Amino acid sequence: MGQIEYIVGDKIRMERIHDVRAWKPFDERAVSFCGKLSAEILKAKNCQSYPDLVALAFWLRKSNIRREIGKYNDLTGHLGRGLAFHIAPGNVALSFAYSLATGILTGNTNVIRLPSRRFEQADIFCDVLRAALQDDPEMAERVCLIKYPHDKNITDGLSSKCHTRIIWGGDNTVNTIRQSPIPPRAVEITFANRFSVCLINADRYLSEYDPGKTAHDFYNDTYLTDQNACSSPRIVFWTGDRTEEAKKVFWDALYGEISEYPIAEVTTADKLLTFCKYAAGNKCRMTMGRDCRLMRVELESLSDGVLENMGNSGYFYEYDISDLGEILPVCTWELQTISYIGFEEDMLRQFILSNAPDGIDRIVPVGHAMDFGFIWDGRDVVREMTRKVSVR
Amino acid sequence: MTLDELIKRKPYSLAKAEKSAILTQMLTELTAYHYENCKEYRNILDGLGFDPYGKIEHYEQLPMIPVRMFKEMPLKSVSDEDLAKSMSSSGSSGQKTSRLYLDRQTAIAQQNVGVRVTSGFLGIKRMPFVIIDSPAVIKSREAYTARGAAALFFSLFGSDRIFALKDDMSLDVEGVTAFLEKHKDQQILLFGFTFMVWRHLYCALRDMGMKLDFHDGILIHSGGWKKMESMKVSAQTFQEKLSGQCNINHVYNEYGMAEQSGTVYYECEYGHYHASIFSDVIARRGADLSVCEFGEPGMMELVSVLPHSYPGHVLLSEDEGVVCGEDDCPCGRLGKYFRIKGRLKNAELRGCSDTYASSF
Repeated sequence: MGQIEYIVGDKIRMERIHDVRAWKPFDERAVSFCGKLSAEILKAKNCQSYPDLVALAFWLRKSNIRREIGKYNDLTGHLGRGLAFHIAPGNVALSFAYSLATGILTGNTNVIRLPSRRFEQADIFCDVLRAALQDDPEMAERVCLIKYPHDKNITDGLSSKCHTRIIWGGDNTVNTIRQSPIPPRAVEITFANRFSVCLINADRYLSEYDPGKTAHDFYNDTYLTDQNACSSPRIVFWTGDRTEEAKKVFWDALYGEISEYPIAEVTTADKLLTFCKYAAGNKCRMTMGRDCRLMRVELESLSDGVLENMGNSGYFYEYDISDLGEILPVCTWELQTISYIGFEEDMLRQFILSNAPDGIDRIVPVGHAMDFGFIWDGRDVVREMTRKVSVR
Repeated sequence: MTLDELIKRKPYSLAKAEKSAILTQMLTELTAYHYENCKEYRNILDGLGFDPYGKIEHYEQLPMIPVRMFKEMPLKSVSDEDLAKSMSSSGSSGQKTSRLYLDRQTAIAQQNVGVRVTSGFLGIKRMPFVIIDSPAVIKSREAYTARGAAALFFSLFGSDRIFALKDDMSLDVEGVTAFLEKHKDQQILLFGFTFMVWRHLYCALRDMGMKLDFHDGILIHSGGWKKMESMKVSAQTFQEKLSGQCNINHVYNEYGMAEQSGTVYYECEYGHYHASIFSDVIARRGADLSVCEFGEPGMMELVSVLPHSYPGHVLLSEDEGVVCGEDDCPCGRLGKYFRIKGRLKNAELRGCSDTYASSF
């Protein structure tokens, strides 16, 4: 394993990590450690320049973790599974930190492969983590952050000894990593390609929502990650009587957020290509915003063409519906999150439970599509990363 | 104006106002033609809300089709009975290739205009022709590649021709030596892709410690400098080495797209590519697709009056370039002159997609 670069931890710690015992989930030592990380991140220089880093710090606060723990009232007899091997996604700066925190909090020991691409906010987090571990030898032996170039042998080695393998980053990554077997009793948690949609009740949007605030929320769900995260909406569904008026207000207000959004030439070319591929076989109408930062494609019908031609970086399909049931054709296995404006969440939950589509694992108000939780992609990661000792 | 009339004009003889009027008329007619004959193209224009019968002031207003569309799906504006052949672009390994469908009319127009532009620029007549490639590139005439098409096209200028490389891409020293002996009093024309000329002709000869005399030869090379730059070979080095090793003293860089075969762009002695009367280039800004000022880099739109059997007359390329000016290049040719900076730079998007696997 000569090619492994140790970002946090070292070779010796890596070798000894197999001998470290698991903890119970939400052990006070782990919760306190997260709280400490939170405080130290907020103190770090440059932290405030990265909204995602600030969001991470807030998520790691003890009060927030306790609120999350509150959702689990029956973890008696649970223990972490053991060694968790995490493969972080290549192009989301801080996903690995959430994955790590989840691993620590569920009582596991953790080896995390970081993306090769460098992000300054990731560097800041690693510096904070390294310093915090120096003061906490007990925690230090539970954490190793590494980088390595493509090498199936290394992935094989790390996979062969883990109790849980967590793969972030999409279908190709999952398929590539799966070439490396895990032990028969190990559990694998994969996060494959997903897409998401947004539902807007035009009438309630116009009467109850502040366009500027809503635009900011919608921006955070979309442009902040180049509309390329699995939870970023790619299709916007409109209901209500005043949809035309609402669209005008909504997209106009969005320009308050995106007028400085950096858009590369190649991104414009890609968006245009996505449109042409879709339009060649489907009736639709494209409207450009004030410039190429926003391309809206109004659909005449919901066909598979939409699912095959998802765009990013400000490329939205739009479809007017009079009944929620009309969205069912896109509620495929790949559909992850519905973010909404002007709906009752109970009604949406009921809609999903009674129609039981293959997809839809999350329902969140607009502005919360990126929020991390222990239940992700329809999976309860806390339960999957622990085992229950049953006693009768 | 029809293509038959235009082809009688000298290829670098139209000043801005006249050229723009002619191109606007011809390209607008082509837009309506493709709208009527290619269902996918019609759907795209409808989706853009573009009326092909409305008043078009300037061809800059015509909708662009991203060139990658030809890799994504077959696009043709003629019935299958009228198809004469298809051509694929030579994509790098692992990439999708374009497939272009040619009818007789388009194939002939590409050839005729290509000859007009090339002879107009280089002032060459028929001469012995050496292709820096292997004969394998022209094996199938029904479905050939852009590399094969280029080799065949330049063969039109050849009184006699030879492929300089064997099937394993090694230099056929004996064959070329015999060819040069046979045409010992004549200037030689050579064509090849930049990187192949460098590696398989120059480097091969250098490594053998051998010189070949191409009799003050003329080389046309295409394919860009990207690979050469990565090896730190400048245009000047390229020319000097070929001159010293091969007695090739006239080197012309060519730029063009397989999707617009025939309307090629040659680089003049001032380092500018030139648009002929049959085609044009427009640099556009990525943020809003507006037209760049002269000197301002942008994404290159290429228009050509030739594509008739497929809707490739107004294309958005994937190259970044700079239009330097129009009608006033010191070389004296009329029309726009420009430089190509290379492929558009890839954007590293955020989000949970698949960069892990692709970086493997």
